[in-house]
Amino acid sequence: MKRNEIAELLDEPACEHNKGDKSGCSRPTPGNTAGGCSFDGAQISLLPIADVAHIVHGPIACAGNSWNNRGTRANGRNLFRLGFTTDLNEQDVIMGRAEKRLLHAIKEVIERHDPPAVFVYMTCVPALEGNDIDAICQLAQERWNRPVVAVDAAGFYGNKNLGNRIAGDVMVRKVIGSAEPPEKPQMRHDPSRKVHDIVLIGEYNIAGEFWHVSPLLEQLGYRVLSCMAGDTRFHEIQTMHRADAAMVVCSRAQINVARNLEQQWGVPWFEGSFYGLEDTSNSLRQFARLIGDPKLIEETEQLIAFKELETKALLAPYRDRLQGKRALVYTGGVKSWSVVAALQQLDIEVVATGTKKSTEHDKARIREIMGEDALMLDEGGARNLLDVAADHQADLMIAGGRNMYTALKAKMPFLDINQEREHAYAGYAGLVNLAKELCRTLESPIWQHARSSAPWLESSELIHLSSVRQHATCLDKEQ
Amino acid sequence: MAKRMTNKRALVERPLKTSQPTGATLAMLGVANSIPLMHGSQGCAAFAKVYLIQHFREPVPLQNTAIDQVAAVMGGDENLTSAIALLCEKHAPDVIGVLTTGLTEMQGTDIDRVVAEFRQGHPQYAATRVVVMNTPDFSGSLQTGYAVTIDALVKQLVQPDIASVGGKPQLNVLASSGLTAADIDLLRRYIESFGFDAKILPDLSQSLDGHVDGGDFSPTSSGGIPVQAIESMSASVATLVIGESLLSTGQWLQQQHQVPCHFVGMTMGIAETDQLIQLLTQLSGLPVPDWISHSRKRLQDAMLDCHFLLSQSSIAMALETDLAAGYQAVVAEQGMNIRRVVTASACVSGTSWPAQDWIVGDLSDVEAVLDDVELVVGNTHCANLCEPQVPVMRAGYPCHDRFGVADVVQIGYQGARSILFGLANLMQAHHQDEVAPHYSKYRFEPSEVTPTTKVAGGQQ
Repeated sequence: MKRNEIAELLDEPACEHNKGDKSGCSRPTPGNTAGGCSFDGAQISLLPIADVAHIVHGPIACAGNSWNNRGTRANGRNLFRLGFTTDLNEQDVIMGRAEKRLLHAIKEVIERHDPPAVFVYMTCVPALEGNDIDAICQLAQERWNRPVVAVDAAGFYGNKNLGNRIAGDVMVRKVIGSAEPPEKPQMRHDPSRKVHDIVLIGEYNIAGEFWHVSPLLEQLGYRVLSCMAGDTRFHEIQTMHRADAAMVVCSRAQINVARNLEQQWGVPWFEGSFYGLEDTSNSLRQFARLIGDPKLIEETEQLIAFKELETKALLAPYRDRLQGKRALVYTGGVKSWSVVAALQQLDIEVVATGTKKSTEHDKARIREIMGEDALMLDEGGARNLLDVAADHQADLMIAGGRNMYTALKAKMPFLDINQEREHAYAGYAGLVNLAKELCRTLESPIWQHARSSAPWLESSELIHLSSVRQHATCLDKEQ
Repeated sequence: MAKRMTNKRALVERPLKTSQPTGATLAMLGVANSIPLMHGSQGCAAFAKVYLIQHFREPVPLQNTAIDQVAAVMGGDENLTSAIALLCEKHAPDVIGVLTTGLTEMQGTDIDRVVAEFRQGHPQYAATRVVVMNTPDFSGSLQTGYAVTIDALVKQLVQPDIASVGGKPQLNVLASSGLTAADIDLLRRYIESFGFDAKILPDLSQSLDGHVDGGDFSPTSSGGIPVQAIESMSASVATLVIGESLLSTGQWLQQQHQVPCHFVGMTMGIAETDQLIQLLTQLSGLPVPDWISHSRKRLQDAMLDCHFLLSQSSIAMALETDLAAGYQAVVAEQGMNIRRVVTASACVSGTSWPAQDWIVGDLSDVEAVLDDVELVVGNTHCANLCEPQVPVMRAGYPCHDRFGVADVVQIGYQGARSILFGLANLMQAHHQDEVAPHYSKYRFEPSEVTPTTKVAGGQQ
């Protein structure tokens, strides 16, 4: 990919980062950088398209370290759980055989698995070598008569967000709009009306959490053309342009997809979240408002009223247990405020929230929710997080899996909120799950044991005193 | 004798191997107060880091030089220099291990020169050793990256003419990437029973064994062999090499520093462990302690108990070569048929293994023989592929679907015993009756019989 193409992708008119300082685009510091690369970002966004054969074109590191380790879940054929790679070796690199090997790999994957489409991911080594994967994919597409899509997002192009964006851009240019969905069926609960078509962008169905929301959408008469990308298939992505409304969930990195849907096909969109009671309800309202069907608006309000009441009743016992606890939240983007709002509904006080990947818009929301003095963390890093937690007497840390062991080694209760987690927190049912998991870690009896030092390491005087006191109490009782 | 077969496909479907830098990182974490520094893009390190975190459920202090588009084209020397300087300044580690990736090897990076120049330009950081190794992603596997790192640590740190530390005679151990923290604990116990001070390189039993320290956070490895101990390896009475992948490093110590090198396989199974114990008693001149003799008797008993299930049962394995050799030793002694061994890279002794055939390939090569076997030994990915059809004993990397991976004992008499019990239990839990029930079409139901005058159960 050329530099000007990358610059073009970074210049996203729908993104607040465009104005002024682009915090997402600064050069990383050698020796003090964590986080994924563009390839990682691109792969994460597209891998959940479950029936596509995803081939990682590169040496073993890129696929070998990461295949089949994500929390995303999907119905039906799970071809994405295999780790297809060209596994380039030294000879391929030196002799320039990588392109040929890729062509053979595409052939093999089509012959053995017959996928509806093949995605080929560029990585650093073939990018540096100058492999023309666009040409190879074009050739393969003509030869085997099915879509073969090149995703040119090698690791050194930039950070994970750039990869998300490249992936979205490729889908807009090469896949979305290449097929029409079947005609709209009647609503099951009201056959006098046809369903409304919607799409979601940036929802990954981690631990199957979209399945907490999907039944509600079905109940209201929405047909989800595609959820990009979680529990979706290639032909569904093709039809995204026919949506009546789109929602950008959690990841602003793919806001370019929404903007293109609007510009090219007139699809209205909004940004929302399914974390917490209020945000879930608001997202449902926004869909109804964008579509503008009065009956839908009415039914949405009824559903929200019912669901909120039901959820509040389910949450009541947990709220008593969680009331007044103090949490440190360190997570990216939209989650920096949506999770905070969810926690506040559980009467948990949030002492600080991470804003490394948040926009000005996100930060305004944080101030709205947490007040003007809200403590925002632009820098992660284990030392910093632990210091903030100690300074503000936080009872637990809520962050991504990479920080899990930072908290645990400091003997601090922890809740995982990112990619690899096992629990589904979205929607109304998800909030109850969140409360349950918070209680599990906070109320566990292990903390006192984990923090205790061995009794023989405590000062002998203390042991002596306590045994004397014990003896004294025994005597008291006898008397 | 294993028949060597080759996987010539252009496409890998279910990778068994992962890349050299991941193995190099692992090896560096067995050195005390060290930081591995990956010379590559930030993603290279993020992937390796998540991989190791998921396996060990431990923090992994891995850093990287953040090669971006500019550095990829213009060269990453500056990135490397500034990363080393930053780590020295912020954390003052005892060692930094600089390891390359596919990206920087493609560039033709000259890490020796960059580090030499760094040394000249930054005398204030002389206390931190910097060890360099070439570990491109496009050759080898986790095990070879690990072996390259051990080789680099020995060749770049061991000092000539140095006195041994402490009063006891020293014994070097080069420990394969196949060993767990519990394996290293046991090995140390064996060696110390003969009056030696064990210098185990690397020592994962102090860093990735799963323990909480007094403090809350460590930017460097949380334990391991101290640098001074590595430096003094030239003063040891002998080197034990555990795992063929480290043999050449042991031989180098013998040639360069006159430390006799002994190769004892993986010390897995009764025969190899006997060799180890014999060697230790010869080297020390001390008798074998009773507890070791007794644990040998326990293994013998386990072999007797388990052979009804395991002898002549059929097994396949997907492991790196060192562990593949070790597990084969254990199950071959038990009389199992090793249908196929799949490994991530090649090794010299492969063709003399007891397996029927041997393929350097991916997990698809295990799938191909799944109908022929009753047990499989392999990693989590392998288990996802084979179970529930065939039960899988977890071994190797990555294993993120099990807790307590550091506690698994594989070596010595104890290890062989627990492997046999493990395999036998898997067989038993997966057991199906040999004869399928047959219900004859002529059998009839209670409703079909006609009562006679005789009262069933006798006259009341």
